Amino acid sequence: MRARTLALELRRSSGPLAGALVAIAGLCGLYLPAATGEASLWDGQWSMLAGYQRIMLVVLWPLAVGAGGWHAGRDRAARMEELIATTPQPRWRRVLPGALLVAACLAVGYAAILAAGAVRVVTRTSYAHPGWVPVALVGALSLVAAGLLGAGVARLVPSKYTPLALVLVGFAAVVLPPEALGWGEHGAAMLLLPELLVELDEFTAVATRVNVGQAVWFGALAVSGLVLTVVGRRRWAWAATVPAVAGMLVALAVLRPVADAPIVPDAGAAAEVCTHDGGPAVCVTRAHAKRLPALVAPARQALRALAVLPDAPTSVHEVVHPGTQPVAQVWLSVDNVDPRHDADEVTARILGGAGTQFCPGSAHYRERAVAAAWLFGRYPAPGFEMLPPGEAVARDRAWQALRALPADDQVQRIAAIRRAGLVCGDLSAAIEGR
Amino acid sequence: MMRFLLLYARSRQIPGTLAAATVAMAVVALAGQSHAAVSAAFAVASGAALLGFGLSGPDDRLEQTGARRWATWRAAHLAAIALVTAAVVLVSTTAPTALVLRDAAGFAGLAALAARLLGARLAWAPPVAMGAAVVVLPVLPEPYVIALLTWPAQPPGNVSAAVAAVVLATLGGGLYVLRGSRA
Repeated sequence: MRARTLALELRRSSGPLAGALVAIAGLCGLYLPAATGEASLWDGQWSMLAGYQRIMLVVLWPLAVGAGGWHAGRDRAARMEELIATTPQPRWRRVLPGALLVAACLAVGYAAILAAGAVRVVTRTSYAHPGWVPVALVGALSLVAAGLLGAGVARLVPSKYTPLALVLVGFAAVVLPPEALGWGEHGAAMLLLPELLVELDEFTAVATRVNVGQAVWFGALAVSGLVLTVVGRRRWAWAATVPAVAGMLVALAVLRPVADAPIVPDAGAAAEVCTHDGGPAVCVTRAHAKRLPALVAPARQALRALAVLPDAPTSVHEVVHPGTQPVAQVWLSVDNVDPRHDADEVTARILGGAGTQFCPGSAHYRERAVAAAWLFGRYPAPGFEMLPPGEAVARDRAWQALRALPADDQVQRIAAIRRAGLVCGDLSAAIEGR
Repeated sequence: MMRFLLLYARSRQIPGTLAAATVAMAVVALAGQSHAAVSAAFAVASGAALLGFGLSGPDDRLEQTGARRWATWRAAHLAAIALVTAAVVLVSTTAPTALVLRDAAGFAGLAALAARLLGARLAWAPPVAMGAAVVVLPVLPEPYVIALLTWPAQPPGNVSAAVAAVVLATLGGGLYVLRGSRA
């Protein structure tokens, strides 16, 4: 395989076009959500970008299968098949450069999508880690497998209808199983699909076993496609089933233990990054380290407001999951660390529930909002204006009731809310003094 | 006339593609009843894609030498594609009739445009791409890019979707009828 052959194939094959189509489709997939303000689906973290790109394989994978099939029909479309077969070269030497080039172009197109997304991700997070790389590599490998498989099948069934059939069957193969079963975890067999069926957030990663199993499976598929493409006699084509079946069995064995939990917490992303400037500590997760400078002033403002309480907290921490909150800490839910909030709103949000964690399942929005307003010194506190219908009256009443108490009792009630919030307790009992 | 019609159909492999297209459209439309508009749109797209192969014969330049009004034949062929896709999908879907008719016209035009620009061998690609976009994108009225990309599944009253279909039908149909497929 000389460089000259490859250069010729580069000019004369549909590979570069296929790669460009992959890149364009991927760019649309990345930046159309940006048009609807949903770029946060992927721009928060590297693993989210890699995972979102894998979701886009729903489109890219059938495209790659079709591109491989189209390439394999090139000689026939030009009515050159028999003429070329007369050259004294074995089949594999004639077809291997072109097939590998198309596969490589597909992978380059996939990498181009990653690069286009990276431009935006670097501005959002400073948490750089290698954990997302396998996810992206498996995606690129699945495109390579798709291209080679398409070329192999088109070689077996040489017809002008083959590329269309490949695209339609490929699309059905990636769309119908999740459509029938729904998103989420459905056992090891569903993990054989190229697309990722679970959304990643900033604090999750794909389990290593999943990446390994999928790499085995798509590597085996690529080998099968390659065998189909290059094998000299068509009657030896059955040999292509061997790597595919073997790969599937190995992959299923690897994937089965993690089928129920393909997504694992990313401890590195949730690790704390704190201020070390001598003032009260303000800590955020590493994934949000870029947002720390903007958070420091509002967080310390909140600590000053909380100083009126007995056992006042001395540090602010962003937390991903609720747990046992220490008395000396203010916990801030990860959802509230949002660059769109202004300083006052951030302070008020930190003061929600008197600086206690947000407990899903026992949310107590009313008590949290009243405590925030009392500590912030304004009712309603900024960021707490949005109310479900009917809540406004009840919240006003709770606020009036609190303000009607003597000043010392008000402090006691807010302190009670804080004590209850620390352990995800009953905030409504606390505010009523029960 | 009858003999010519049979030869024309055979030269464009119409019996086979018609059978395949009918099955494909019916299966897609029936299987996707829970998302009627989207599945009807994709059914029309797959039908137009399969039937698009017939938009050119084995040797168009040779045919040109025959004493026939080929423009009329091309127009009739394209109209037949639109009618067949509309008819098959209408029997097998619960989506609104106006939506199916609009999509049939638009996708026939898109296939014709692709045949003119890319050749009949690749006339299937743009309809399939458009159909896939409808399946994977959320069908929303806003923002405009999304509305335009998902025109085949927009409700029948949507003006930009209707305009998109009319533009594709007239542009693609016009070019194809006047000039035929790319060689």
